[in-house]
Amino acid sequence: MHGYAGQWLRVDLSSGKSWVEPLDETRARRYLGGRGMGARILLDEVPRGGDPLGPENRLVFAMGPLAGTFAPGSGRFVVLAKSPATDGFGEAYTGGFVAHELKYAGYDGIVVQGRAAELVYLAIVNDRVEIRPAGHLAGRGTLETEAAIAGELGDRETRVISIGLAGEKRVLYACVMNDTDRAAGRTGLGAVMGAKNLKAIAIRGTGRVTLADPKRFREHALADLAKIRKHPWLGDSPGSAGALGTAGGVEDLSNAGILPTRNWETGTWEYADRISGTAMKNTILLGHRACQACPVGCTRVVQVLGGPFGGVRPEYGGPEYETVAAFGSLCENPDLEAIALLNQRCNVYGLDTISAGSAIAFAMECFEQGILTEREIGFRLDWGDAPAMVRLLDMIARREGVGDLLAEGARRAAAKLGRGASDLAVEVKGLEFGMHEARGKKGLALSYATAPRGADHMEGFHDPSLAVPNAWPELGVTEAMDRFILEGKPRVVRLAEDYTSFINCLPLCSFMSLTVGGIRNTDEISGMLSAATGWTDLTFAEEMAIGERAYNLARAFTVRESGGTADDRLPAKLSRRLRDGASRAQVITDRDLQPALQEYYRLRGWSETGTPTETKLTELGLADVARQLAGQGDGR
Amino acid sequence: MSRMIVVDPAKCTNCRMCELACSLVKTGAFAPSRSRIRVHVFAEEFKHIPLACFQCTAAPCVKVCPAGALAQDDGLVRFVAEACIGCRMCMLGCPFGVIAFDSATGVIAKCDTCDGDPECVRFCTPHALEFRESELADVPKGRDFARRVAEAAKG
Repeated sequence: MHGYAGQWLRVDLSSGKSWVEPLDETRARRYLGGRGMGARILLDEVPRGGDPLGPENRLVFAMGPLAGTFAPGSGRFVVLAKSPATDGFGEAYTGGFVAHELKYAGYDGIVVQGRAAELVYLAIVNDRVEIRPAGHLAGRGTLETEAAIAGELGDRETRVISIGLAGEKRVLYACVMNDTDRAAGRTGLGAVMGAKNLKAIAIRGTGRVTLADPKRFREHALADLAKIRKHPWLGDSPGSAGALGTAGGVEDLSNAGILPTRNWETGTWEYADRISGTAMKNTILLGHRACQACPVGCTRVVQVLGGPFGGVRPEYGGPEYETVAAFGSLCENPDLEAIALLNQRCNVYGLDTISAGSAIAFAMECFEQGILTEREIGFRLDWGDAPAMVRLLDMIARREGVGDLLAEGARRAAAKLGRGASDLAVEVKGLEFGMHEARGKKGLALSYATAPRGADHMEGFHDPSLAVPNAWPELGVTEAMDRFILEGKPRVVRLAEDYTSFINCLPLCSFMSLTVGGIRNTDEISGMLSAATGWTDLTFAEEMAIGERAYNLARAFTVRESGGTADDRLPAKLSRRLRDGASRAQVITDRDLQPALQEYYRLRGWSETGTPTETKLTELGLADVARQLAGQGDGR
Repeated sequence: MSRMIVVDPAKCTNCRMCELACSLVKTGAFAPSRSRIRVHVFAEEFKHIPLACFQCTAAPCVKVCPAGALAQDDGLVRFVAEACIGCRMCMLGCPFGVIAFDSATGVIAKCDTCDGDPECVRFCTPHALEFRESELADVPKGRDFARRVAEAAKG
């Protein structure tokens, strides 16, 4: 089977056994890889109501048919498990060099089950798989862990997936890290890895990935590269993601009133220019680098030698947009060097910068309102107090003092605090918002409310992309739409989600696709997929169906685990008017959302309460999932 | 006038497209471990250095090859796989470590500039690799150095 390695690695940490399972082509074509394969495995193998931190959870690492090739943006894999943050579908994508290496080692994915008796790491050198003791790596940061393991295996080309202290301590937004500064950030999968006593996975692969039609594959890849290089944001321009990073647009966001500021009080900030990509370029930036097979290179590389936030090293990369906003405007902290240090500590500890910044901003507002006191915290926590932010971040990673409470995430922390704290927690289903203001992007509010992971900025679409007509004719989206309007958006949200979901099954970097990056490259991606696999009869409609199938699997998992109530609600903050700026006075309440929600469910073929119907699931070839949702056991 | 692959490490983003492109064109599959060009990373210094055969004029590999499988030919060190006996003496002789042994074929693997149309250069989007007339190859580098001198003189 071309494009694929043709087998998955299975590891049971309880018994210490590992084995391989062949991947058959029918299954590959239905689910592709990435999200599709991962969600299928979670539904099949994680028991209903299972403990996310128990041995029964599955930790899945999934590639697809393009990893290992030079398809632009193919250096990508996805980590999945039942999420300890949301108790629903847990998933996080990451770049770097691991995806290619795992394919060369001979695997399309790994499923880890059980729990090791003591801290261990998994060493994979081609077909040799070994579970090795990792007690000496306990508490170590990413870089130290990687160096120690590469030394033990005697090969500096070894690639490493690992967790830091936060994962070991089961912080509910701990990441799975790889290649030092790449993070599978969201939904707390580092805690799942920690709960399995799995410190790291080391990979070395010297095999190959073959293609059904190398010549045609190469032509499509070159055509895709040409489009990417000509793209205003991903190409060579001075304002591109390569030149300025993903934080290049911070000032524009502030001007549009959608830069999350002061725990979502406002969307505009007077100090936006101090934390932007341009500010970074003019101060702490050494340069940029790329993930494997990426022509863009949005990764920042920064250095801060001395001063109060010194010791920031180039090995740990630098802050991207989400991080800049979460530790910057959201906490009203204008100090870019502090943001760089907080980013580095998150990479060392293995913490999701979005949820960590959100937890600190939440705590700052609690402090301001007297819900959390100086005595409870141990120090004052005023807006913009960068040294206090660093102290608090350390406490979260170590679960010390109030850090232990905040390590539970905003929803759980607010519930424990009471005193009206829940009004200050900005999350859906337990997942904190990505740094995107839904009151100024109404279509995004719908996908925040409904996405399988919770408040997910990567599923739907960002309304400003549709400000001009003919944005996505491939999807039948031709009319320009106002970003403050919800009418007409449910159809577009659904289409964008299904196409993005297809991209997530490959998986390919979202930036190098139509719905997120805005590149008109659907033909090139189809071309590469069919030339890699030999599926010459592959159509765009089939790709959309693959995306929709995977989306419904993810949704079904979240619905199954929530006991049937989808909890598609927006947080209280969004019903408060944005204080000032170009999106001033905008709100969106659950009542505003209802008509759009019902229209969206109808378009999706879901019930009035948001459960995928038997008809829809059967149409997608998932009749067995309908039986699971009807309460007839789980997939086992 | 012969041309050569000129490397500008400052522009390399470590995307490894060169290794992928090389392995595909040379082996028919993606296998960076068999690429004729390799990127070496020094993360602490934030340096990525792509290296391939420099096509030396007085090439040590040519001198040590006992089988006549390597020969300097108009600016290119040519490799004749059929003549190679797989002794790896050239790997010992090469001062740069840019000759690899390919266990899949049993002979060595080195850059042949894809007969004057290097695939790695085509896929190098940051332009860290360029294929230029060797007589002119160092002009840009010289100019960069001269600019620093000029700036120093300015004070």
